[in-house]
Amino acid sequence: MVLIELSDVHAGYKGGNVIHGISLSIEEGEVVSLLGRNGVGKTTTLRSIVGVVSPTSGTIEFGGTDISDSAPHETYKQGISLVPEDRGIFPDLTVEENLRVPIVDTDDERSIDEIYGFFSKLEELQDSKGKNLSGGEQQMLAIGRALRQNPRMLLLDEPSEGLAPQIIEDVGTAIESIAQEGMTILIVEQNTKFALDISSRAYIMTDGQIKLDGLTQELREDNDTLEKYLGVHES
Amino acid sequence: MAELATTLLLNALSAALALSLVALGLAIIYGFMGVINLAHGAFLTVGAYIAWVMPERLGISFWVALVLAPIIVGVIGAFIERVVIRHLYDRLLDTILATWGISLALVELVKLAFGTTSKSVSNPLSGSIDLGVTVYPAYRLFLIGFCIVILVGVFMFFKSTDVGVRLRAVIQDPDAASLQGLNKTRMYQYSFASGAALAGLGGAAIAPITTVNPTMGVTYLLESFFAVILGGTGALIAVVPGSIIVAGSANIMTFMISPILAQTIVFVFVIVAMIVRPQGIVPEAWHE
Repeated sequence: MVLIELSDVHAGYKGGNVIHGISLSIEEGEVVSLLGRNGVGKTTTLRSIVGVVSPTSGTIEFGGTDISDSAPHETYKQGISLVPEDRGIFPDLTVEENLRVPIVDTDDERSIDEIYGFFSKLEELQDSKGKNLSGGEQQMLAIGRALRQNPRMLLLDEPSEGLAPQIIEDVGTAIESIAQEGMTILIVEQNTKFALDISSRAYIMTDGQIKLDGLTQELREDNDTLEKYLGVHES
Repeated sequence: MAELATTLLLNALSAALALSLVALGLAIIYGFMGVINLAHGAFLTVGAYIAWVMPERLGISFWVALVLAPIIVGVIGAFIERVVIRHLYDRLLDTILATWGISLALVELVKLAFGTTSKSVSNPLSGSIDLGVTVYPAYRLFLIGFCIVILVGVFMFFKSTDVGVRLRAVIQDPDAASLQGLNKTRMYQYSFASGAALAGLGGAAIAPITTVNPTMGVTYLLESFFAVILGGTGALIAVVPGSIIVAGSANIMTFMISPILAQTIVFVFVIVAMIVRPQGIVPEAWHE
């Protein structure tokens, strides 16, 4: 069953549109990545889904509801959680307080203890302020916080950015175990290898448009495509 | 000597705590919404007039007025947020002008309704209490305790309740907060209303120990700004030391030298503090 469908979405900022006619659809339970070089409109695509930017044309349907013009707190209520590129950690709140921020009025919310069960490191850090966490800890906190409402769909913007290789592996493992519970996930990444490893399908963007999509299994073998659109040199 | 010193200190303390209430309202509005609210003094004035008109003209107990004043002023604040402030977010200069206009309008309304002459509220707790070292007016002692309870209550609210934690999240990063399902617009309206309510409460609480007149808010507006600037906007609790310095020291120096010189010294001190420590006098570790 299709969970989210973008049809010919155009969106951007005051200076003009950044994405020009994005169409994509994701089935429930799928883990999909959205790949592309810096500045092609990946983040803008995620922002238009959650309503941080409003599409100038096109529609976004989520679970059969038109969310094209919904504000961020409304798309959140629909069950979409975005972990933004900057992670959105509240610097002067503790880890525990950061986990208390999300609105959880659904019956299937996850308690803070459940999040600690998932990321045991967070429990050790519960009284540390957000600004004192390392990049990897902040990413774990951002993902853990996004899981509080037990969303129907998780959007991750560059979860591996700025992290050491060992930490990237930990984040990848965490995302994979979330995916195994059946969560629908859309990952935006510049780290192509990381994204291809954890997703089953990928869209590749250039210049605000989707150039191609395919199974990650096949893309991984297709060095020409990866080199052409993503600048990846496979050795 | 000890008697005089105790009386002076208690006077300074009650002035500083009352100012803390008002300044806390200003700090909430500025901290949450980035709005410099020049109508804050007028909100205090309205609160004081409620505490005058209810017991003196309507036969309602002062204590009921003390409870109703923040509610009424809070509703006025919510209304003003809805019809004016909401359209001016992120436009600092425009909000300054708009809140100044609102302030003028509120003061004129007060003059129309009650005239320009000063009013006095009869003391709801007449009599004095023997503290051993000195005999001190009962209402002022009540005021000290009342302000402490309200201040502690407000800080506990921000520290311990989910709504309080969420409000702090909105202060720190409104965009990230909206991604956690928080309705920014509604949070802003609550903040403005509760900031206004604190000014109204402060006005009502000080009414029995001051003269109530249409322009009484000006001094409090100024002192509140000084308290917030001195304490710094990084932590709400910073308004308490800020207020102690502004109102407390002015109060003591007024007795020792002259009111005008005392005010001048406080102004100069605030200006120097702004230059030397623009982030406020409280340590970074207090930031919440």
